[in-house]
Amino acid sequence: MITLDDMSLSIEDFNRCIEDIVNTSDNLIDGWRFEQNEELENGKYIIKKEQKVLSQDQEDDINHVLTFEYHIAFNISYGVPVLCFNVWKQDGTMLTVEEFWKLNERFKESNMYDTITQMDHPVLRRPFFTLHPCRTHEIMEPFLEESKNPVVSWLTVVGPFVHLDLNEEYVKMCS
Amino acid sequence: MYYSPTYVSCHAVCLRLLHLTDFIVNNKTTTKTFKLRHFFQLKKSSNEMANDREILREIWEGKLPVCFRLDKDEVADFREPDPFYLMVPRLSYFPLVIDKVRKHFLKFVANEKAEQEMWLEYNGQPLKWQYPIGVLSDLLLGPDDLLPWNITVHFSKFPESEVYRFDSKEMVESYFMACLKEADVLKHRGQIASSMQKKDHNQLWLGLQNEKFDQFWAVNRKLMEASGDQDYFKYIPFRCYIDDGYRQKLVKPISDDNHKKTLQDLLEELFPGNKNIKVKTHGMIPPMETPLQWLSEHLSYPDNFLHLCVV
Repeated sequence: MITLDDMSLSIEDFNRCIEDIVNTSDNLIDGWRFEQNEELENGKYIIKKEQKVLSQDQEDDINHVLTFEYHIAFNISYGVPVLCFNVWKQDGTMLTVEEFWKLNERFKESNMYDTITQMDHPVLRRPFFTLHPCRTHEIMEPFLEESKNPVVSWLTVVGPFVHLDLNEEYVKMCS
Repeated sequence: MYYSPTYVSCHAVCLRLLHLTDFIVNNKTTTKTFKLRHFFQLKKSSNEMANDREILREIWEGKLPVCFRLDKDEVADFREPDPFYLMVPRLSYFPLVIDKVRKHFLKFVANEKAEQEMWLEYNGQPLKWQYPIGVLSDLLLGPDDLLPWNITVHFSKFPESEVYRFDSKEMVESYFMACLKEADVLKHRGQIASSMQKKDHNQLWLGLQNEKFDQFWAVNRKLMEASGDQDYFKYIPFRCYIDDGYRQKLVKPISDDNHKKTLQDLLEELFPGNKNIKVKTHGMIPPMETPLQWLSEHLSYPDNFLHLCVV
């Protein structure tokens, strides 16, 4: 038994879910691909790179061209998937947490340091912006029985906070 | 639990003597090893290993002498800056203790660099200062390296893909608290950390930042107890450093047939089939037969994780 709770996602479930995501992505040519570190039990994760143009707020007429790299990996301690990402500017430097925050109206009400923090990537062990996993279980719980792909269901909830939109073909996988 | 007065006094004298030698007589990094190894040898005779405040304090007081030098290529002044010496707590984090170092070197770098975040390097490698100082020294200092630890200071080309940008102390705090909560998820399903009040969290953080043992442990004690009617943590929070990263795994402190698991068991679960692995923590190599629950309660860093470095 590898999970913390009876009602949680096992690594095997997680691997199956991300495999389905990559298959659907391949059909859509959506860019999700596999990575793996074979030495780790939670070594499988998926990556997607995407360019986006964002502006700071309504009054800001400067558009920022940014490259997002999203990773979905499995956090062993919490027994949940984590969505982590890094963002590069056009000059090749990485966005800081504060810079990301300024571009993110949706988080205005919440505490920046509690919601998105830099954390170690569960496989790469390097700093990534991470939606803190402590509430993931709560978000996922209703999906564990109902959804055929709880990882996708969870992504539809948290993705919009970090500009990650999912094609509806993915959502169809859940039912 | 109790132990004989002879044991206590003998032990205390030993510690005091070794404490002196640690930094004055013998400046090799291995001295702490002898001190704690000695402690373990004494401990073997005692059956009950819990509630030992003395070793908590001994671990808490561990310090390392560091000599900081500004990278020669970054000196923009006609004078070379003097090196800057500092005793740093092993349990702390570099971003919490280097304000003075920054101030010391700032006037020697080009004006346009002064706004940039300082970072540290040892032997060509950027210091991942998201790891506690003691962990970095266990990872990077070999048995023949002399102290003080010679660290190079940089102001340009921050290694952002490897090192956390801790622009403010709040960011270090947020990282530290995230680690501590993760550890509590492993030990108590997160129930202790989440039932604490904000002031308790502040007390832990301030205790660490200001190096106040009593302040920190008054709260940390609750996190380090097995909860409810349990004698053991659910899982042991640990990171085992190897190959430029670290491994984590869900390891229980007791086996299915209710035997206390040891460090040996943990390493066998983590590296199946590899019998010769040894790990270092707090500058010493703990004996393989040390029970995991005791190890976790006494040798964890303030983030509540055991940080074990494969040697």
